[in-house]
Amino acid sequence: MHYFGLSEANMRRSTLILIISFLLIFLFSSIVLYNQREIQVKENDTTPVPSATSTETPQPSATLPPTITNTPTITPIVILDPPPVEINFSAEDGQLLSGIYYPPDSNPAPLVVLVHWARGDQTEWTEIALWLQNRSQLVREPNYNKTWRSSDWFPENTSGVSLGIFTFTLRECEDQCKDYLPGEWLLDIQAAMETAVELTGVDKSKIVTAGASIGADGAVYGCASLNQSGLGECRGSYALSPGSLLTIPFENGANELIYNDPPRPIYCVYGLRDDAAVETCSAVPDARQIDYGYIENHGFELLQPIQNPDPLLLLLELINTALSE
Amino acid sequence: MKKNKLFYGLLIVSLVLPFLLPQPVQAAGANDGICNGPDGVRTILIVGTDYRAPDYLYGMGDSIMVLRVDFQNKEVSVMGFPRDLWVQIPDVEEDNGRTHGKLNQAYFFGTEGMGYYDGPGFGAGLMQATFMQNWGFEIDHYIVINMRMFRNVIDAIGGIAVYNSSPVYSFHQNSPKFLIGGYFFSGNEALMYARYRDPRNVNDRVDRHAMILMGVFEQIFSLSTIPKIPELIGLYKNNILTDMHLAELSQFLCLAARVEEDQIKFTRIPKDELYIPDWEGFVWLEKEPGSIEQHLKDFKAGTWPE
Repeated sequence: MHYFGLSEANMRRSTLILIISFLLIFLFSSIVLYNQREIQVKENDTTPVPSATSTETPQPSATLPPTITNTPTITPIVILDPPPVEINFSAEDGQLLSGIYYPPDSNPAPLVVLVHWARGDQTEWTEIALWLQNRSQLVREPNYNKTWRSSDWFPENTSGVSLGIFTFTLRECEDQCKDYLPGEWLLDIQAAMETAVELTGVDKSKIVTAGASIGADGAVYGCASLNQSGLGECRGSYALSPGSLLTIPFENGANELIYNDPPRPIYCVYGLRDDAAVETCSAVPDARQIDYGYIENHGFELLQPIQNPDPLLLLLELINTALSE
Repeated sequence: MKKNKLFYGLLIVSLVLPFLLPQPVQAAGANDGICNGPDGVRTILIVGTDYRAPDYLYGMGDSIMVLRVDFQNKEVSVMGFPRDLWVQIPDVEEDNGRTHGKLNQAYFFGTEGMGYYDGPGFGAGLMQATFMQNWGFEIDHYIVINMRMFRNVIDAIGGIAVYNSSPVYSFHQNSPKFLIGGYFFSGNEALMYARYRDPRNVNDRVDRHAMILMGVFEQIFSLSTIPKIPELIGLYKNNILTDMHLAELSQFLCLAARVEEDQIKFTRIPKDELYIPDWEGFVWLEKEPGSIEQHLKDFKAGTWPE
């Protein structure tokens, strides 16, 4: 039989070629459409995952002598000295940011990213960072203005574990925030998370975040967005007085972590006179709720020696729980 | 047979492939507008009530403003309304026997204490319904503050600076209470400034309320207050009435912080478009029916004020 002047064999061959061409086009279109969708999602997203560029990486100041063996593929494990290292990095929009890395005593080690509040910068976390780092760097002394910097009451860190700690200062927040830039702060937090997982000695599958006030919102957001990015694995977050004040609902990120498989724990800590924190934590009923009664204390102000349970032991508990999952 | 297998194999792969590829996840809660705000314009009703108690059971809507927030074009504008504007008040006739009243009564009839209004939002909800009934104007959110909280909030942010552009008289006095010039008000002083009333001048009070709002904006975004914004919201969130989620409040603050103070536009119904009828004391009516509706349409569209 002839179809339009073609023999049956030719017709079959043409049909087969046509079908294969169609399938190839379909396959190609699927991939292109997928990529376009991804790009579109990123364009629609006003806070896309930034590609943080670390402009300065900590140089190993102390290295274990490499063992000479016959297998050259083994690379030496680098363990940085205890003193904090300054890390400069930039957010997606090019904003330069500065952070401090408190290296752990092992490699790879879990890392805790700490986010500050609007009334101060990353130095608000200095003493707690040294305490968590647990490498005998903390000098215990009182600070009569700020209980969270008064290391004389800090409980013994009996975890026996040295953690890597990363702090950073949000843009326009040196000393204290001078502008209200919650949208940009989200970019800073994402960049900090991406930078943190690349630090020497960090086990990128064992990240925990903690924050106070806007930093509490940022800590949970940073944790969830790190997991979304696939660049690392954030295992839990400790939030002191969150308030959904970074333009996105706290519960979005928190629920994403809590209902993850396996669940990632969230500790929501607040005073009952802090309406915003109460409302925010209530929106995440499956987070562990720690209220310190009818007090106005907000953010770092909750870190007081008189609180029961001890807020710093709670932080250790969250870290241990998160990392043991 | 082999060709058939190849054909079906490719077909299945091509159909399933898009679903097997890892799905990109959108950042939690992100929207299209500036500051993660919504794509477009949102309107917020702001009501200052004359109620002195710490709650919101009763009270008249003393200060009535609508905020237009454009998250695409980074614009904030405010329209003030005279409290004595005569309007049709919906949904209360059955309980209250009234179909009309002053705009400030629309708030009052809806308060929880009066209990005439069954819809959501109590007084603010009824006022939103009143805007819709009279002018077809939909308002997305509301913020209500009573006198006590107004005072407390202004004190908490450290007071406000206001430039008074015309002498302020109280009703029965001939000498002005506030002369032309700059003032720095505590909460109590700001309340006094807001409440002086000359019913003969329809927009005098509306203009002063706009000045106060401007002063509040300016003070909130001052160097001394910015670091305290989160804890101030924490302390006062439940002392004001609002249907806004904290994240929405934050989006609004984020946008407001980006708008230069002199870029915020204020407007109100032009005085010459209103009159006092002879059948009722101190109420205002529009001379040309439909003029307020048109102003509101233009306000929402962002074409008025220019």
